[in-house]
Amino acid sequence: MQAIHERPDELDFDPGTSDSSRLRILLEEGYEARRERVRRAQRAVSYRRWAEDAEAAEAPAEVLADTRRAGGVLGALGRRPTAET
Amino acid sequence: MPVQRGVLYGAPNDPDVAAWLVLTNDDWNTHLRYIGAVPLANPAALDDVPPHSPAVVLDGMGHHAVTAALTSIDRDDDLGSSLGAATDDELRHVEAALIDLLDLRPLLRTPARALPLAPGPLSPMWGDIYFGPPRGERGAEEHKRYVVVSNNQWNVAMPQVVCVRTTTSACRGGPGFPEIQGGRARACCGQTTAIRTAGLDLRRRPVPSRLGLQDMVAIARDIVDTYELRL
Repeated sequence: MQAIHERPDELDFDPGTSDSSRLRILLEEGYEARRERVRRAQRAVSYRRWAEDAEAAEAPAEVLADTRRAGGVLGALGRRPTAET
Repeated sequence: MPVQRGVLYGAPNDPDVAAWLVLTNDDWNTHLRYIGAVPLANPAALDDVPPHSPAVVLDGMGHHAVTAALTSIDRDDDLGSSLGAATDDELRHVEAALIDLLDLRPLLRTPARALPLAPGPLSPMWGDIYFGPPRGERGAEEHKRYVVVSNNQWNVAMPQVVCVRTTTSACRGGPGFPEIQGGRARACCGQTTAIRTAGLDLRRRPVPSRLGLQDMVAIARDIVDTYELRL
């Protein structure tokens, strides 16, 4: 029972849910199954928020552009020079 | 085009890459434009096989999955068509190589242990924050901040390191974006990417210039989750 109260985010119970209701829900769904479902739902929300932000695309693009300018993704990590390079 | 973890895709914009192996989880791949992938190198294109590069078969031939060149790529522009999927065994080896490169195990044990320093020449160090490659107009460039997550033996020896980008934007949060610096910034773990050491500003450093162990543990946890690494 203590774990139910210590990890409210992981199990996503409404604050007003009684202990008996929490137990019933957990017995029906399974503790690990509910925790995993809630975790994945929170993860998807987090990703969506990031996707909606224009800033999300900026950094990867500039890093990849820098990498390509310097000779490619494999860069100096053992790539055999080609005729062009 | 749905992008899936564990699948190999063509690399139309990167002639030195035989294929991209997608590693970010499928929730990430569903929602985000930039996804995490490891390049596969044809052995004939390599003078030396970089460490942490396990074999993955493509078109019946062994290639090297160069985990140290983990990159955040544009799913719309940088990915070609599907070329097949890595086997579960191959994926486990790739995950193990990345775990080793980022030395995640000491960080995720209890109590967590910081990675040892490897004194050497001016090199990026694990946990240090640097300004990355410039973006924008000349004279008014912006520099994003990156924290180094590859281990120090690697960082001292190799010409590129693996970094996680950080942001101070207040509207991020939740899994994949752990709070760091006492909540003043967040790490974008799904944008873990190799950066040339020469692309980092090693002299002009941001303030603060490094992260503590607790922040690095938070980043390690979310890297494991975002890339679904099996420890």
